Amino acid sequence: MTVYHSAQPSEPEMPSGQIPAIRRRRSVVRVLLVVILIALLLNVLLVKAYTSQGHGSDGLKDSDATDDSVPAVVRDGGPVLDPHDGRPHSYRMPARTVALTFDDGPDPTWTPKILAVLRKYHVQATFFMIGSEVARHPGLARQVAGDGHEIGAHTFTHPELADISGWRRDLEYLQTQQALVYATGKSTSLLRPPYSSLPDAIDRDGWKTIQDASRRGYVTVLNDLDSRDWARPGVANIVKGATPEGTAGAIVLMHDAGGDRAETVASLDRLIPQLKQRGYQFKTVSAALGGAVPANDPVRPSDRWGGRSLVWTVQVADATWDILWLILIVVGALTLARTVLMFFVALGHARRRRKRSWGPPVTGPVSIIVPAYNEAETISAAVNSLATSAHHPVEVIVVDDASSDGTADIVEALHRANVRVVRVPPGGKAKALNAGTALSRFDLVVMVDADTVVEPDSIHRLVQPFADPSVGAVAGNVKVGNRRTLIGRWQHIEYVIGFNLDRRMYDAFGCIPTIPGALGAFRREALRDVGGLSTETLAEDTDLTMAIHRAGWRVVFQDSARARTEAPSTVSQLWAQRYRWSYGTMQAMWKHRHALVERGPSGRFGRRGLPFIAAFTVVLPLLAPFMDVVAAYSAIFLNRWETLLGWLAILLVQTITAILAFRLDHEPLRPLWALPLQQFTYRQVMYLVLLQSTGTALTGRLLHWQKIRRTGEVTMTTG
Amino acid sequence: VRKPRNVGRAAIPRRDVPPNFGVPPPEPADPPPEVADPPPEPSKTPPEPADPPPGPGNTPSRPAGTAKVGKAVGKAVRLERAHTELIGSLEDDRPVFVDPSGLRRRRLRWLAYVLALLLVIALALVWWSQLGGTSSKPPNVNQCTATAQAGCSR
Repeated sequence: MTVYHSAQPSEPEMPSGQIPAIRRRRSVVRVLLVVILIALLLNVLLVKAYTSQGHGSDGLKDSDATDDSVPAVVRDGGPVLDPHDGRPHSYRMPARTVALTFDDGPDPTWTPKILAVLRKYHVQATFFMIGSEVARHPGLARQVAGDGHEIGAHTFTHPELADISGWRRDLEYLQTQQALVYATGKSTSLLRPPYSSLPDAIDRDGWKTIQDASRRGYVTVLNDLDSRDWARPGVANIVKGATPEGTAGAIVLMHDAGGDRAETVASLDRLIPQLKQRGYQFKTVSAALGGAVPANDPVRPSDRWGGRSLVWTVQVADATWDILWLILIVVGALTLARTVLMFFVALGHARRRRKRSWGPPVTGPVSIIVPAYNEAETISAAVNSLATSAHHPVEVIVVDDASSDGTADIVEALHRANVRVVRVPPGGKAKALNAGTALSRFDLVVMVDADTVVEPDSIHRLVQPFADPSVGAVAGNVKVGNRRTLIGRWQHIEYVIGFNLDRRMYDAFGCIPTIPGALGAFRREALRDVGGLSTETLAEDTDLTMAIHRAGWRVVFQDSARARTEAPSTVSQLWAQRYRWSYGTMQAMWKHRHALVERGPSGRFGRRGLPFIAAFTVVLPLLAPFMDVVAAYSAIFLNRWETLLGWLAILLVQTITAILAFRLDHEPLRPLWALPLQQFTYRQVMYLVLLQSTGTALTGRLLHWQKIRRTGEVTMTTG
Repeated sequence: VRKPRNVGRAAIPRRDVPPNFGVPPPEPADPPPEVADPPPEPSKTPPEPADPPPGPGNTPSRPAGTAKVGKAVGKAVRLERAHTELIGSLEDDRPVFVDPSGLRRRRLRWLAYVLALLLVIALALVWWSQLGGTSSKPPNVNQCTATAQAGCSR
């Protein structure tokens, strides 16, 4: 398929050194914008990864390695530690006093339920919240504070404090504080280190971090009784674990987040009345100690700004991630649905085609139009294959669009009686085709690219559907001729799957979007109805096909009419070709958008075909980069094996589809080994091209065209 | 709309088209193209390379003769008189999406600049607030008003 370059004498090619300064500066700015966008996305994803680290439950660490550096007074002392002034201070709950503490919250499901129970018994407790969760649910933290409970810090992301470096620890404290200050307007002095348990389990590193926290103004709050509710041992066991002996006071560890906390809620309903009956009081940690330690202090409003930016960042990151997931799910579901649909529709289509013929054989004369611009390499093979077609008679009209490499002379030197050369002034492919159509004499017009070689009976097969008077145009089956390179092989796979299988599906739904410029047949009447080809779009073939649909003609796909075309052999040529296709398809769809609201065949095509085409040629491929982003993120931060498994599943579905397509097309399966590799460069090139053409469409820039370099590799001997 | 004078009389051009042009191909009933003999190659007609190919500028030689043909059999005219018609314009249409004034592009560019700038500022502020803050507990506002405590002047 030709990337057809219209000679534009007014636009001389400029080497990059001669690009005017203003254009160079703008392209630098454009690159800068892209870099900013990528940096933002990366930043957001990193924030998401940072705030979503999974963690185990508290109270797991039972280190009995006693260490001399931990003072005995601390190890044997109470659970509230405030080692200021270099001297260890520890506090214990007074007799008949229980401080209920809840870790890991706030949680939108369980925190309100626990608050309701506490409210029922008029009990105050202490909540040690994870900063990132506070940033996600600031309203919950506000509600907890509003109910008169005390709030302590449980770090921002729940790491083992002794294992992380000093600056990360500082960041953990700061961000938790910021989130709490933003949510409640108060700071906190209470800190419960993650994975902490009883005072006698403090090891050397733990003692160091406690001292360090104290220097920053924090009082460390451990516990006396671990209810072990995180393990869900049953309500009775939780109550048993949380009940102090005799009249001893206790800090009781429970959780209001991190899983199903129904047992915790139920056990509170039993524990509180039981202890109250025994004469116990329920107090917050600082209230129980009678003001020996500070708790929640109001701060200046200006101190809330840091928290505000933090909360917004976390929420933006969460929202971005949610959107990415939504896209992933929608795209995944649509792609899967499309694949399954394509699978069965294509099978049915192939079966119907085998059974049904179009009617009496079409043997009328055919005009073949070959637009050519600098096609010296390939033109003689193309014209010879057309002029010696099995269909009889044919006239071949080569429209030479002001070639500079003697294309027309080469054709004339062939001396074929049924081949004519028409030289037209430079004007582009659409105008060349219009001129060729005007000078052709027969009612059936076949358009073939100059780099395309047809099989001897292709033209005959291609025009057979015209036996049905409602058929206005027929698409041929275009194949890649140069398959020896990897890029050629990829395109071969893409042509067979994408164009062939897709086109079968579109055909079954009566909305083929494109009759390939490489091989297509038209009824002159249909061409006349739509006023020929227009230069409004770069994909004049798609534009023409849509116009023919709208004029009420049927457009069908004839897979037995095969042609081999020379596909781009370098990435930059491929880029240019796909740029033209995707941009041109968008142009054509936009041009024919009114079909959506029209009546009759035009409206039928508009409502049935256009949304379908738009979804599968523009929207889905445009969302493809997000799939890669999510895949990369999951591979790095989430489960690597699950990601690989998902990827392999997608590959399996693709392979099955590919095998079906190759079988339907009677192609050997060997080139399919390149299919997995396609995922890593080809796919990305495809969606980047689409992104670029979307940008061009939005900005309304004018495009200039490059012709692809020919190698003249395609001959009919292959395959 | 065909001109009536062409009906019933066919001028047979000498070389420009295959001799059997205009009448059904020699094989009577639909021959399967794969197994059929190759059709008579048009190039087998005696080539006369000296003659320029027919084109708008060339007047071909006079017809070799005329033949009477029935209305229903077919009709042909000399190539240069062949019934052709111009469908579709040869003018340049305005390309879809293209905005020759460049206004849309300029507006979008400025919008992109402004958005990018805002986003970069937001990003910088977030990083500054996270890395520039102190890890100590923020001061109590009441204590700040009562005494000049360290950290209050931040």
